[in-house]
Amino acid sequence: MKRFYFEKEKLSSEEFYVPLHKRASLRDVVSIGFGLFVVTYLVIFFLISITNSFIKDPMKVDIQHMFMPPSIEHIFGTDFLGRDIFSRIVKGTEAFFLPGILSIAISTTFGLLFGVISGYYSKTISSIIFYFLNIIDSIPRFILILIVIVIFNPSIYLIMLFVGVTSIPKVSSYIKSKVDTLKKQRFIEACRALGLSERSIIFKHIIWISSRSVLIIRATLGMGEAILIETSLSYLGIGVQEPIPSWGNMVAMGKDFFFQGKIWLSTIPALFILITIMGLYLLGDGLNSIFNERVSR
Amino acid sequence: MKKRFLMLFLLITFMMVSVGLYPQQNGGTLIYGEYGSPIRLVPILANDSISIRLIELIYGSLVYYDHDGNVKGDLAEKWNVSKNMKTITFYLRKGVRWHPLPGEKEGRPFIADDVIKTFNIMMNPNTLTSIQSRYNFIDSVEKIDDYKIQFKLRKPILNVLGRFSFKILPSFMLKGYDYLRGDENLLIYKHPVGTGPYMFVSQEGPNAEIILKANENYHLGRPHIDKIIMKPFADQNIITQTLLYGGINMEIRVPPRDIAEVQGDMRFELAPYSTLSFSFFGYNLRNPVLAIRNVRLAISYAINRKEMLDSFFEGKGQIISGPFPPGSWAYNLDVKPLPYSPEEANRLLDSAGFTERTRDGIRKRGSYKLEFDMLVPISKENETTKRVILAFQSYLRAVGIKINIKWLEWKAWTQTVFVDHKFDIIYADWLFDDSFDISSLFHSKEIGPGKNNFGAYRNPEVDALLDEAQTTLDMEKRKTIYKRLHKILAYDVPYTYLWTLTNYAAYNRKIRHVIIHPTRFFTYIKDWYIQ
Amino acid sequence: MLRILRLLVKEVFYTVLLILGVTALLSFLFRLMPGTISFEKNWLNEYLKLLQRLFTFNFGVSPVSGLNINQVVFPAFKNTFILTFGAILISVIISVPIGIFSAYRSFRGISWPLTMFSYIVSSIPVFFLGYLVIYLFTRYSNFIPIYSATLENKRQLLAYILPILVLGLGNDSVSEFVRIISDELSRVMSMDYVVASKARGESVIRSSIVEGILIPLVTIIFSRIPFLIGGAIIVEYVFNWPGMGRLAFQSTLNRDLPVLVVIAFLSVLFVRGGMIIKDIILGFIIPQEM
Repeated sequence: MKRFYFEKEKLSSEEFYVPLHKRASLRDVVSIGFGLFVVTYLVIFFLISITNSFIKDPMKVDIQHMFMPPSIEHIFGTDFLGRDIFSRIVKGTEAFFLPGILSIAISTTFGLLFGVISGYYSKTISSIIFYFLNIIDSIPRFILILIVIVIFNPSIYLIMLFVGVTSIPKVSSYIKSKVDTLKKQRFIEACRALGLSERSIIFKHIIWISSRSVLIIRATLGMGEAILIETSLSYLGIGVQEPIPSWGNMVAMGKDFFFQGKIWLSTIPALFILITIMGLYLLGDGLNSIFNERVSR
Repeated sequence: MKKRFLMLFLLITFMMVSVGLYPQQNGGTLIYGEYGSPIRLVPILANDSISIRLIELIYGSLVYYDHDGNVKGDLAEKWNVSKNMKTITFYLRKGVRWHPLPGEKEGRPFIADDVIKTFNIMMNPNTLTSIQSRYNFIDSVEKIDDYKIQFKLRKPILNVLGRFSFKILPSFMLKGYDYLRGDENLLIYKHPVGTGPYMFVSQEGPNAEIILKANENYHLGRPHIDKIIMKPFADQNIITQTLLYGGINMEIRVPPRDIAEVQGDMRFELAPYSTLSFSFFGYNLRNPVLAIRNVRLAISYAINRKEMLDSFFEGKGQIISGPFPPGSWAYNLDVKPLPYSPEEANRLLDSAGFTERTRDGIRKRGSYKLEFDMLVPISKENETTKRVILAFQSYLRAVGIKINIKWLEWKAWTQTVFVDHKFDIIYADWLFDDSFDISSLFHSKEIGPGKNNFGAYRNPEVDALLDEAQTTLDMEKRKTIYKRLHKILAYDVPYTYLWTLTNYAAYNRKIRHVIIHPTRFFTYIKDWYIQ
Repeated sequence: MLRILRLLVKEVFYTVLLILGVTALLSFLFRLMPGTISFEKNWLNEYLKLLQRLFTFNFGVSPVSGLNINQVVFPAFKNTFILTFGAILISVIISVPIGIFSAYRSFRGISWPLTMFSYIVSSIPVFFLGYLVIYLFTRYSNFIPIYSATLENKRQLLAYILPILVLGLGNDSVSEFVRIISDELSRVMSMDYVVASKARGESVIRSSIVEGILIPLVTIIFSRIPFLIGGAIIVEYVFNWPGMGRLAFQSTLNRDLPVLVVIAFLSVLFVRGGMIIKDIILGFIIPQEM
């Protein structure tokens, strides 16, 4: 088996340092490379989208030119109202980008908080915290989202906030197990013995050094989940609504025309969802592998 | 030898005659597909077309129109209109039985009490329906005996008999109820019972199939088809496909783009029918900006109806200029539909004073912006509705008007539009009955929660004309009145009138003698048969 | 045996406590709903009433939609259960061979394309996969029908195939299973005692199967139940399958919170029940010394 030892390596168009915890295999390299490629285009699309530059107007209706297949002028063709699909794809990243970031921000922050508290302090406190977290964890996430939708009629940001909350239990348990491991290794005792302040122990050693890998991986996977949820909700019609583009509602509207042979309306956004989510998950897996973690979804 | 030939000849003739006399066979199952599910299977309360079609199968009425336009008796055997035309006596058919309740073998007999009860519930102001306005001409109804009732009218009405085609409910299932709002815990909501050609058998859940079976004792003759199944589809695209591979044998409304495919398939028949309905954008005149006629007129000029009709509906329909289906006697052919002219729209908006623009390019005048909330019901959501609405939004954006689209679920939409009146514009259609009585839409006394004049349109001249049209007995006069109404209602633009669509039903050729009623679809079902 | 029993008691106790907590949360959310008429001024009373209703499985009638909840929810639950069970079966059947193959040959790196393929199919958003499947199967043949209540029994059985297939293959289950199996198996296989065993020529299959496959498999199957319920919502919508997921979605459109609360309750029972069963099974499988 070939193993690659990374220090600085060019992969596709990226140049990056892979943190060395384990030698990366070819598999990991490709996973991470692909994942980073996905992250790159996501960021690029998002930036283009919010600055409204370089792309055609995603809302411009042009009935005379409906259903045009992909061409030079319209890279992905036009949809059922003559709108340019490529610009709608780019605009569609806005539907999940910031909300997704909100979701992972919440899950990592609070997950870290609860994980550290329960790991650091007594068993009772830990049990109580995990009791409440398990309550949240027991209800299937989608059903909780539906309930939230009925009660609050929320914007996509509020929905993602809840999605973030539902991810807290998992993150907490990973962090807690990290802290436990450190405890077992008497690491914390050793630090105290060395005279390090509590604050430094927590922040530097526990959070930064030990936990950061878990957090990064969870953030990556969390973003993938957020995208999947947003697109699913928009597909069902209860997420982002027309005329605002979302990859999910583009698939939904496009499917009606599948039978007429106009498959690109539905397939192109679906492909984007597929590639994006897969990329993020692969990135997570690759990082999992090289950091020697076992963070799952 | 000759004798034998004669015998053979007679035999063959007899066989041919008997085959000729009874071409229809009994038996078979009609499975038809609808896009969506019925909302309520009870007459008076139901106002969506899917429910109306099922109600047509299950329930009966005093009289009905046959397909030549003649009034025929259903639950009424004969009738008598008094000389002054203010009293109508109906002699009810004896021996008619309601469908049996679940668990019972035989149904109860149909008697006058059923008609009285139905009428009283229908006219009770607390009942959640808007059809009362159609029957306001009736002053009272009286039971003479079990099979004789008498209606007294406030004034004589033209073609009055045809008005008595409302469906009759069983009084014994509504004991103690004087009005209905739809949320009562009544058996009839879950298991409808009528006197019609088909009996309700089952429906597993609110969005499940509905199974009906032939009423063996139907007083107008047992229908030929044994069983009818209504299949609701959540996805419009699958219906045609299901028809083609045989999962259903009739499709009520073939989406325009599938028509070519079905037309080419020899196994199926395409039957066009006009549903006497029209689509429109309706305005809430309570909004001070929309109250300005030029604004509404500008919107009408700003949209390209021909383009939408051609592109979204394959051109299968006609643009209208007023609230009547073209080709009907009420339509005024002299009133032409407005052409597509964004220039004219811009000019009108300028003249209304909306010359300033916001940063986004939306017109405004002082603190008033040309920004409106458009409410759309989700259950009406199909691809063409969405396309029309999005196109509408886009056309208006081009002249500086902003439309915010709000998708609401059906019940919430009806509540918000018809009761709370919290909207600016809606996109909807009205389905007509044969009398084209539009007073419930535009008369000023029909303004109020639950009533059909949701936009609060008020015009005393229109009121007067509507009143006159309701009471006049002269058909020619009526036509004149309606033509004038058409002109005024086109000028006032309480709605932007869009089009009326030609619908196509598709069915397997094995189903014969199919005649489709333009509004109720299944009125002539008992003559259909399956080979 | 006693050990398992003790474990079971602890589990059940914790689960009941958890369910109490969940119902408290649900009843609190219920109260938040604008427009709900609060029958009790005191939240505690309302909560106890809700608890009584839920635990006696007598859910009553929903004031929003007029549905008799019991009548509607139980058949739906049964249908979703069938769907979930079938999907798990399919996921396992497909992912175990791929996982083994991937772990076993990982030293040669060939299996990777196979894993990638399973990843791709898994990651296709399940709503698109479902629609694609429907399109292919209705366009080109009518052999496998889409679900409907009046199909004759034989055909109806066939109608079960597609949604189960889609939920089993899509929804990310297969990629997750493959990954876990492959990781665990390769980890186990490289462990000293297994290598030693192999060197001695003994069969490695038994111990490696138990450790490498069964344990992670059982664990992950039951942990995936919440995700499967979530995925079922979409699959049931696409295939018009009369299950709890579709019911949940319709209730959302109807703003019918009571039904959703009941569905949430049943889901929690399903999830937690699965956890208990998982622990029982693991209790039997895991060799004593662990």
